[in-house]
Amino acid sequence: MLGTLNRKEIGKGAYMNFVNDKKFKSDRISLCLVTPLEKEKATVNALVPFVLRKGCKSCPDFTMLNKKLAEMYGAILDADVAKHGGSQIIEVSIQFTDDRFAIGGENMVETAAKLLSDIVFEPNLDENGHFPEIDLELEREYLIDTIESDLNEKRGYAIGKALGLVFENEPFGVKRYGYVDDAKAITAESLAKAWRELVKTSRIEVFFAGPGDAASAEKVFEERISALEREPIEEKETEIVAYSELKETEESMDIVQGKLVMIFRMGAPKTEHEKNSARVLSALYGGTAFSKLFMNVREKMSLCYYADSHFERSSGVLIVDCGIEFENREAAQKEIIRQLELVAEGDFTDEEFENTEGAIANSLGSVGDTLYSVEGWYMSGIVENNVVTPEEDAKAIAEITKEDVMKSAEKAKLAAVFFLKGGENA
Amino acid sequence: MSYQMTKIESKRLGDCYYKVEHPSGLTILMAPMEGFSTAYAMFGTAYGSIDTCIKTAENGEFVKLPEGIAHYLEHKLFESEECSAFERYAKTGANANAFTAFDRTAYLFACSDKFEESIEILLDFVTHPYFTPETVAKEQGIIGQEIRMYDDSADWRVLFNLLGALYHKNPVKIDIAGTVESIAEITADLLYDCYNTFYNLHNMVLTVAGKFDMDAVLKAADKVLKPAEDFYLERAVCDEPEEVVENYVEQHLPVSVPMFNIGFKGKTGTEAENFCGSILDEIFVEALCDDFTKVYRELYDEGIINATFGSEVFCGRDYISIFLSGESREPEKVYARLKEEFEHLLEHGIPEDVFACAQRSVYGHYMRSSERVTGVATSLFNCHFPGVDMYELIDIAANATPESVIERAKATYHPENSALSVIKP
Repeated sequence: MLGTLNRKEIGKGAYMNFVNDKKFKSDRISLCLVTPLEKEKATVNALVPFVLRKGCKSCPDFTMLNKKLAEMYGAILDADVAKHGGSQIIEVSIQFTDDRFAIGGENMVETAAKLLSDIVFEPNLDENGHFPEIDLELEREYLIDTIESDLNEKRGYAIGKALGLVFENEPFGVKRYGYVDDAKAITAESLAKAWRELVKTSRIEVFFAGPGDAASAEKVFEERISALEREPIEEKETEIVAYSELKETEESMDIVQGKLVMIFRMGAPKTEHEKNSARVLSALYGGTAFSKLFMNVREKMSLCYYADSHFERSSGVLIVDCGIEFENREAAQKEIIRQLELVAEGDFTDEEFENTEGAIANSLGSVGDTLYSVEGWYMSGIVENNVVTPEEDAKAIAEITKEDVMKSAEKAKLAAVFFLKGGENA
Repeated sequence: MSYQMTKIESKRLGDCYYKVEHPSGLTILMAPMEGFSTAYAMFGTAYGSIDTCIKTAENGEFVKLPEGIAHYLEHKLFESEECSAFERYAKTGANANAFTAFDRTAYLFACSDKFEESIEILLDFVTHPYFTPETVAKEQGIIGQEIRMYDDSADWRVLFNLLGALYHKNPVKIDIAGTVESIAEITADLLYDCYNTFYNLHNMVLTVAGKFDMDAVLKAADKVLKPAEDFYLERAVCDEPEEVVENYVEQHLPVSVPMFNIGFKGKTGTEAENFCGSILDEIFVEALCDDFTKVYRELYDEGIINATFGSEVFCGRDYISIFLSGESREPEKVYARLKEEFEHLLEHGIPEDVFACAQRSVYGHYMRSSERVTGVATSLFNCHFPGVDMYELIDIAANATPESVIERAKATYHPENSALSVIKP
């Protein structure tokens, strides 16, 4: 069972969310700055969490900060950037041992909340209001490496390339960590400005999950946020495009296994029911170990080692990706399309259909079992403005019929194909 | 049937688990966890990719097995004459999987509903092999694809290149999936031989954690499992020298920044000694170069390591090493500095404040893994074969002293016995 979400406004455009659950031994608090995803600002905003992670006024030295975390029984302080639909999210989180398991009887929740709030709102700025020069330089270099490191993992690289083709001119296409040229252009001035703007204009979401005293954390954040100058900007929904010309491209690399990615546009769902139909479609088609793609493309035809599909609800696309031998590209592509057509024609049994809904219900049942998934579940609901419990979601999934899935499959329009093949890098 | 259940408790964590020696020969370890919604079950054997040379009661002499056969067997076990285990799990909604590691193979599932059905499927398909020449031949395509996928993976290559540099003879250096050539030698008969040797219930364990009914587990075991014959197996002892093969190895692959793995090769003890010792080694390695240390800061400020830097104690049946990995434009420099620091620590010991940080970090890590269903089932599974009680691990961390950590490190590691593996663009 997943605990209930409690949510309240603790400042202008700032919210405290908490889920209390005594079965855990640690607590997790995340502080998220949610802002519209814009190409021009994406890179400099992406650098902000990395420099924040280096220290704060109360603990300006990086090594001392890490020492403090280690003393808190190896508390984990993570700072990263994420994108969710048309939003960019700067997230700094801390996970730590709950008071009950602190050998020295320390007040862990309050200490962690203060530290997290210091990290985000009271960074270690110099007299000009700038971040330390060395942090800017090192973290900018790391950001560039991170942007370029998508190349290291070929599967993710190929998916990224395919998404880039589809969303060339849409906010969804903005890259998570931004762009190398923009990163090189970041100055002490522009970085400090980006941080100030984020703190002033973004929606602030604090998320607390665990057995600890959320109220004491809330007090810390409420006090701190009330002292900030806040002018949250209005967030607009990003338009989901239903159709675009098919774009196909391929790239050569010195690799031995090919990667084929196909992206289908599903259009903007008008209702939650429609969105859920696409989720069931994706699971039936390529989301389980008994899906159409797995059973046919992999098991029966041995065309690939993996063939998965997943539906990105925030941008309305169905992504299929597989690892294949270079010479199987045509055959695999044809079969992947054929399997989707078969689903649209209703060529699946009641049993396959029921089992698929069962598999989704089963995975929804596990959401409450880790702090990370509790936070992930509710935070995506919060960002999408549609908070439901996993139980409610399971009910909604159970309402989807065979016909809904067939209709959903009909809507899928192939928008991009990307193939990563062997040979020398072009 | 009713069984004698041994209850094992941890005062420190306020947790407990139960142990049953089932008459079939299987050990069953169960940790019901209040408040959780999922169950996670693992059924597996002390058999992995390193078991390439064995002697059984029947054949009487050492037989060499094709590389990658344990992994191949894992794939094939999912099939039966009627349908695959995945198709059976489809009816229960469980999320099922399996993996082959160096010294073990495990079949697992996670579910939040229909546990009774799923546990029966798990026990049933793993104890009912079905291999034919046709089905075995068919798998070569899929596993060949898997091998190729790993060939392109920089993370995978940097690790196996390191193992090749560290180990002369130990089969831990062999790729888990084997090679396209070695798997071509695998036949249905050979799979049955391996199955009958290693999938003896005396050589296996079942662990379950989370929300489930213990009676349901025992009922399924009674229904499915038949008493196993006595287990006799001799594994070829590899006479691995302390020295490494070479100190440096590199490969070119499409990556953005060079990746490195540094390995400090340790002297192996018994499996239990390796396992318990690895907790002290974890504290040692935190004190050596975790993010609160001086050397980490220096390397970080020089821009030659970044946030991807991490450490791991790699240990198993007859091997133990410390691995440090990350991205760097000057991996040689990182290696030289860490080796120097390693020597310094061995000679001068660990300062008290550094030790406190290292110890608390390791303690916190084990504490947190006890609040995850997957963490508990995995820990029970991993501790069973070395014969260690799961709760001992966190106690070892809590009771460690700077002296005990250094003493162990001195006896186990010699910084010269180390290697650097690099993947360059």
